[in-house]
Amino acid sequence: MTAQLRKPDVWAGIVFLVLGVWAFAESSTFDDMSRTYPMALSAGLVLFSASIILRSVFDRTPPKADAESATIILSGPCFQILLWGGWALLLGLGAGYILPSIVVVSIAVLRAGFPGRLRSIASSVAVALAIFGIFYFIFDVPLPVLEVIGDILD
Amino acid sequence: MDAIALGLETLMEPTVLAFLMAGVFFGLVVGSIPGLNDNIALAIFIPFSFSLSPTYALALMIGLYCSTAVGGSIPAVMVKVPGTASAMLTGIDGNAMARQGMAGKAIGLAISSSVFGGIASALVLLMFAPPLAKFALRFGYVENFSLGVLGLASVVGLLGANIYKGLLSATVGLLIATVGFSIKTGYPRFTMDMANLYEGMPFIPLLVGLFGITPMLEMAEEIVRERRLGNRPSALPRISDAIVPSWQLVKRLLPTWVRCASIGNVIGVIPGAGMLMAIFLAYERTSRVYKRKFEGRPGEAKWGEGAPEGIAAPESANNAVVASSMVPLLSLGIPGNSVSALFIGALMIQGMMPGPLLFIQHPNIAWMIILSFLVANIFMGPMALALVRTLSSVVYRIPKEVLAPTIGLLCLSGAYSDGNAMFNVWVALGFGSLGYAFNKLSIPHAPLILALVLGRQIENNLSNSLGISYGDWSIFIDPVNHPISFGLIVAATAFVVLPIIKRLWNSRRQVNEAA
Repeated sequence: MTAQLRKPDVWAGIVFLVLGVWAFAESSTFDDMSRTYPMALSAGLVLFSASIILRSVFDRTPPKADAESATIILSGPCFQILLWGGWALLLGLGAGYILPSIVVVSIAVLRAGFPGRLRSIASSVAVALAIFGIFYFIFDVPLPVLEVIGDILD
Repeated sequence: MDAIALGLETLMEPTVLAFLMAGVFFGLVVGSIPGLNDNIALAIFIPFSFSLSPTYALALMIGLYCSTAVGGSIPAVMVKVPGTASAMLTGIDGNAMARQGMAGKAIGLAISSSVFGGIASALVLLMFAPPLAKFALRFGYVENFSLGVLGLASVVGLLGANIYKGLLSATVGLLIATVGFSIKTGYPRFTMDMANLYEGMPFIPLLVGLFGITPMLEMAEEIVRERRLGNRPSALPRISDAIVPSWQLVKRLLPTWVRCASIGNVIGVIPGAGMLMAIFLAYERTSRVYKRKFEGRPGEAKWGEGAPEGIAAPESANNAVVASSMVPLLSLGIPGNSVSALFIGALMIQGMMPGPLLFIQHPNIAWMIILSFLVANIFMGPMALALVRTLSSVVYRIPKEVLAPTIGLLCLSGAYSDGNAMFNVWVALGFGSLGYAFNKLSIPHAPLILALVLGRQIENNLSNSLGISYGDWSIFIDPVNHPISFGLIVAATAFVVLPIIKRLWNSRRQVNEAA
């Protein structure tokens, strides 16, 4: 059983099963005419998740123990999600667009192993400013800017 | 005929043509950069289309869509690293040919095969989309519900062994599509008291997340993996021979082009089948013909070691999928593949809905789209031949380490620009992560995307149909009053049930054989 729990499909099935149960319970609080369709879909989600769990548990193929892949996922995509989540938080907190963008792109470029620290930062500044320029000036998108920069741009 | 003239007039406006050519150019560049593809390019571009007129935005997108697959063949031939997934088989014979000093011939073959496939596909779109749209105008709520079910079933059914995960993916998509005010009563569903969700899950940031952020995360994974392995890109072969294929070679390849373009067109029209299925079918079919007719003859390479047909087959098939995947989108409102789903986003931004009504409400746009596919493919050949030497040397100067965060920043800024809301950035990031998790768990994306696109329509048509029938579900399988719906439901059932029966049959046969 412990070996079965190491299979990603089992965990994915459990996550979607929980989601299905939650969606079913939530749908039951909707009014009569709005609840049937989401309730049916939630029940379907529970059913399909359960079948994925069962198929995975009864599948005799041993789970692939791959610590290397887990490390790569953690230090690659997971780190990127955190990084860009931090960027969104900084924007939401009023840090403007340019500075958080330069910082986040620089971290991403440096961490990816781009040769030369100064070159990495210069590339990041160029990327952040170019994208800011495209959205702010060409497409007229009111990106959040710090008051000081806003005054200069105005 | 007047509508065609109207579409042609719209397309022939110099600025529209310029946008179409710009799209072809960017498509070639984007496609030739490994790691970038048409999905990412269009996902980045969609938020920009707000500020363009519909004709300019659509012309640019069509140009881009048509030419990315051709661009993808350049690195596939030169270094066996396909620029797009659809060029993965081109690299087998193409790179073998390049290593024998015939890089120019290989690329020329890839381009000419793509142009043939693309033009054939545009003609299919021209011939089949309008009559199909005319026929679809007869559809009421009942038929439209069954059509939505058929769209989902065809995608799920084509997944073969992955059918349970496909059903899960579709259900998640349908459930997400219920977020927001109920169509019937206005009751807020799954909104968690967030005002941003009252109108439903924001569609553009969702697409940007699935098509832009997900590949960015995959690129980040690839960078870390390559760093740990200490891989460095290999040296690039040089193009020293003629690029334009000889007339003799063209004559020899004509049957291969016709066969593979036909495969691509048929696959393109089926929702969810996609380019990969087309290239594998075309490659496999052509390999049998090549082995029978050419292999072993003096001067002929072995299959997989530089056979011209090995390049012509996947390239004509993948480009034949491009325009034909727009047939179900333009005529029925059902996207043929993930890229054509992105066209829905672009049309919605401009206040239009793809489907039969597009030909009535915006005939100039509908016909402009159709004719643009033909013109883009005509532009594509000479432009690709002229640019290939430059593209093949420039693309490897773009470092992936800078490319990944650039895509990330472009996509998230694009998501923000849809309504200038930070909430949209979180949606894009969330769906990007979901898409990545789906990839890791081998849960297919296509049913999720199709369900997200069709979810609201399916619910609306279902509730209206049941309203008409006073809650009687047999209305969908009533062969007398709703024969179209009956036919569509039978086809949908066959799509899902037949692969399951086939699998059971095969496993039983294997057990019997083992016994």
